[in-house]
Amino acid sequence: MPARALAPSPPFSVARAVALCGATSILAACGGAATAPARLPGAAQTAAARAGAGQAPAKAPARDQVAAARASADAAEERLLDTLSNSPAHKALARPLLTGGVLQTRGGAPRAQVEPQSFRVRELPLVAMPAPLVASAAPAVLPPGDAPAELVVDWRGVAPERVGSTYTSVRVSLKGAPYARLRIGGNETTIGSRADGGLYVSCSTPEATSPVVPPSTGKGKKAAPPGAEPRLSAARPPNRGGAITPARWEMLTLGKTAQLTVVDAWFDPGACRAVVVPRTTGVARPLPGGVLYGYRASCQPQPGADAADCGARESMVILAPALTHLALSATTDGTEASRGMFTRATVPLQRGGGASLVSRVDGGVLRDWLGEPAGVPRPRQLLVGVEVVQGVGDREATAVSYVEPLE
Amino acid sequence: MRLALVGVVGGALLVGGCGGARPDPVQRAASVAAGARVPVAACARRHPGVGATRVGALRQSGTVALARAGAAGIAYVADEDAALVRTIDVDAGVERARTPLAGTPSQLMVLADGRLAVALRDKNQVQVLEPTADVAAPLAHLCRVDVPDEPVALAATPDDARLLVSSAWARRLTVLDAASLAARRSIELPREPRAVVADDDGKRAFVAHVVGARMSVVDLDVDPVDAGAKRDPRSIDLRARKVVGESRDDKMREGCQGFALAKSVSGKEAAEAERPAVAGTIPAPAAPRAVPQAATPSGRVFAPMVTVEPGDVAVRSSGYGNPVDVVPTEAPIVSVVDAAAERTLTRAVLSDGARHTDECLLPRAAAFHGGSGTLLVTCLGNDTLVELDARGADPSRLERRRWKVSAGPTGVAIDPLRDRAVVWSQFDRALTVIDLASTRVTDTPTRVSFARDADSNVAPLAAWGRELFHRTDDRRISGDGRACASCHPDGREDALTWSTPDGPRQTIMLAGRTRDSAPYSWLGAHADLKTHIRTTFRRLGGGGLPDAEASLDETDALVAYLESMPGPSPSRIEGQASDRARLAHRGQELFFADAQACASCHLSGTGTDASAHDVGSRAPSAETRATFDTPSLRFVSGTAPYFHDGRYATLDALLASGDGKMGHTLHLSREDVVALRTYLETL
Repeated sequence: MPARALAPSPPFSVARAVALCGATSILAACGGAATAPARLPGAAQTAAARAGAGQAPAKAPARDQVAAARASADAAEERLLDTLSNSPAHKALARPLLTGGVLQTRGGAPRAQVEPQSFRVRELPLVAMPAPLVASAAPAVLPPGDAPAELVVDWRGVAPERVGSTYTSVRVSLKGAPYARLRIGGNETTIGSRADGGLYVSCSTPEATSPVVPPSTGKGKKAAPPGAEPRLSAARPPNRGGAITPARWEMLTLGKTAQLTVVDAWFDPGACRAVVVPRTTGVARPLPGGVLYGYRASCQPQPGADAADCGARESMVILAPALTHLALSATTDGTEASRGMFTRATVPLQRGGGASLVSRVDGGVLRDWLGEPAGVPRPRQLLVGVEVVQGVGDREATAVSYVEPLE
Repeated sequence: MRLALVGVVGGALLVGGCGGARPDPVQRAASVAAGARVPVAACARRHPGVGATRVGALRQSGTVALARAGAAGIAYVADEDAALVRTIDVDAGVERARTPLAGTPSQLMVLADGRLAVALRDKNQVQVLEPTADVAAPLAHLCRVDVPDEPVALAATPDDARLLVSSAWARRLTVLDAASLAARRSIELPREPRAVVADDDGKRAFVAHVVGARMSVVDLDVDPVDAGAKRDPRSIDLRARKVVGESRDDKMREGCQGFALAKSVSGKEAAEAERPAVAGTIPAPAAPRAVPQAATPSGRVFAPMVTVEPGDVAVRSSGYGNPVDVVPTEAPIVSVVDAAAERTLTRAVLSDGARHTDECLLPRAAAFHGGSGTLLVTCLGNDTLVELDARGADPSRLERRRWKVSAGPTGVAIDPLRDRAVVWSQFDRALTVIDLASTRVTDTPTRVSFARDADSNVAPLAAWGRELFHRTDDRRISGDGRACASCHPDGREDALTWSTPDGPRQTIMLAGRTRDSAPYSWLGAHADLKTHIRTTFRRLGGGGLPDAEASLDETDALVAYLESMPGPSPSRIEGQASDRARLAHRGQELFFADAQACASCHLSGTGTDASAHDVGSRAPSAETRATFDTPSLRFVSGTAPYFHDGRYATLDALLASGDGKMGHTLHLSREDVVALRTYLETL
């Protein structure tokens, strides 16, 4: 027991007993001791009774008397605490005492409990996904080919034939898919089901060979010659001063599976046209929980491109609605996430490695993602996650996913 | 006066256990095993086949271990407060027997033949007991075997031929013959080893460390050709980086609280592991749970721990570390080690965008449940048992269920056939039995609790303080959920240097050296412990404990615990004529000599002059003061890094630095430096 100062008050007073028991509402644990010294156990009873009777040393006690008093106090203290800690009431009441009444805790909520469900990575569809085109491999002239029907150019009320050799800002978008992502050069955006959104670029006629006119304040537009093809110039210089730039768009359609079509194209601002190089369609399978979709992707280098543009490893692509607080990690490098109106997250698959995705999705976003009508109740937020782990001795990866509502 | 002091201390020459570095424990244990103190045969079973038998395939010690006596499920509990083994009938919920021990038990395990091996932490021994036919009778004592200082955990190899003992203070893993307990090998480890498991083929041992964010790997099979060669254990780096949103912090977080380990086993292994078989009494295996067997991970070692961001020590902080980040200063993970690769698969602390309460910040025990592919972890800070899905890269993110258990859960064991977990809670002296097959967490678990022994090792007031010391998520103590034990695991220290309002500060060890060591704090700013505790809580963002002028209050309880928490019990070097004893004696002379002047501040070696000194250690940027309180050198060998700012990783580095203000050591020969260090290791 720790040595406690005795003077000037008696070694173990009623006040102390009351404070220890009564004042903290554990009278039951003390057996009513707080207000009835006669019922205090053992030496505590004696000490408390003595204190209650107002007995105090008439003069300074000798050293041995102090030692005896100290020992008595310690014994009394121990017995009382012992009684407390061993009494049945202590089990019910002492815990609040130990933490000063109701336990105060910091803000926040406990971690959500989850019920991960396993899936087999090797049963996910394997898609050979080409690497994106690179600007350095851009052709000098647009190769022959059909213009993709899904690419929409919104002239924003300006007649193309009136553009002439100057320029106008147009919106390039995609149609035909509820979720899409479009990248032209270094600019990227996602596009919703109503083809809203898109990239803004500048157009002029194809005959115009003069340098691109810098953006104006909107005044002094010249009319294009009648019948002239509009000329597009990217809002940002596409590459090496040339006109042709790589473009990629992804279109996602959801159902029992998710169909992701990835289109790589050369985009010619001068012709306001794109020509598709490869068009790759992959099917992603729903992961347990029904919110996320996944497929395995192996990368294939584009013709003429450096094979190093493709990682040698297989990866897993997770398709998800718009996520908040996305956190993605893997034992090795190779994670990648494209966000926006839908999410495409890539994690490497490697023996001897692991990868994780943890995120939240808003209930309203999920309702749209699942194609549910507005009245369907959904929690405000859900926790979604994927874990893929494969030890060096594992024949296949262990993979789980979960979707849990957050309170 | 100084000569007299030297004489007194020199006469005692309590040279502690430090080998190589410390005394060679294997020689000591081997000599004992060879008959010096314990006949080898004494440890063998006297009545083979009699009594309770082992349950489960974990072959790993804990504060609770399961056995089966006939049809009855038995739990053996290492009650460290009462220094005894309790034999509890789990089915009936009653205590059947109590077996007093020769010392304070840390953990125990049931060996393949039914014997019980108990690590006696304060006696530096393993005690072996034998069950009798009557489960209500105390276990029979067989033998006690010396092992390196502070044995804390045990494990058996899969063939049950070898018993592994990890010793915390001696930093050793000792390999014993499981039948005779004769010492075979002893391997030096990094600081503060705790739990140990053997891998599936018995060739390697994996050892957890409370500090350092590492796991050690020790080769158990030594090639006879190079049997004499020194084999250093390999170290697996368990540090992880923080990932918040799409940004990744490339700085690796440190780690602490590596007390527990659990090895993956399949449900089939677990069910078949009961040996020797008890005909007709083993219950049928529980029905398979929802988790498919094929998805159960294998070849993994799970290490529950806490990642720590102690802050940038080059700048002063408002508290300790950086308490306002979305990933808290202390964040739990379960590091998943791929045993075959000897590499962790857990490299990140992922934020899901929220700060969480009730996290498992003081994990103390873990067990893998092969039947469900889950990991059970006891959390000392919030008195819970959490069930984690073991299939993730960090199972701590995949909490499936949690149960509230009695205060101070220090051990968990799983009965795979009955599909239940048994948790021992030391603070409440209670056993909680949890039906894992039940899908309802709200089912009231069975509890068996025990009255406090009159001769308990922990006085009631200190017991109260112990609970507070380990309580997480108490806003009065800290603003971010940390407990006292977060930085002072086992009352020791986390081996970290923190950014604080005063500058960089290394955590100090409390256990065994708090009493009579005023003033407190590195600046010596607080004359008494209560003031120091209040200040510390304030710096942690805590609201403070209520003050009761006329009665014992919670701060009194904390003080009582701090002053009574036991430190290590290092062995004395046996034989004054040994090389090590001679070195220590020489080091002692150097310590007390005027030329070195060590004792002018560190009075009597372990004492202090209770004063602050300018030892020329002020860092240019972050320090607020130039003078620092003389710290106690008690247990100094186990408290690296050194100096208030942790600038020296080892005692050798500290002694070699000799700046002329904190003693004088630059003029010493290498041999004298070693002697001085050897003496310091005895304190």
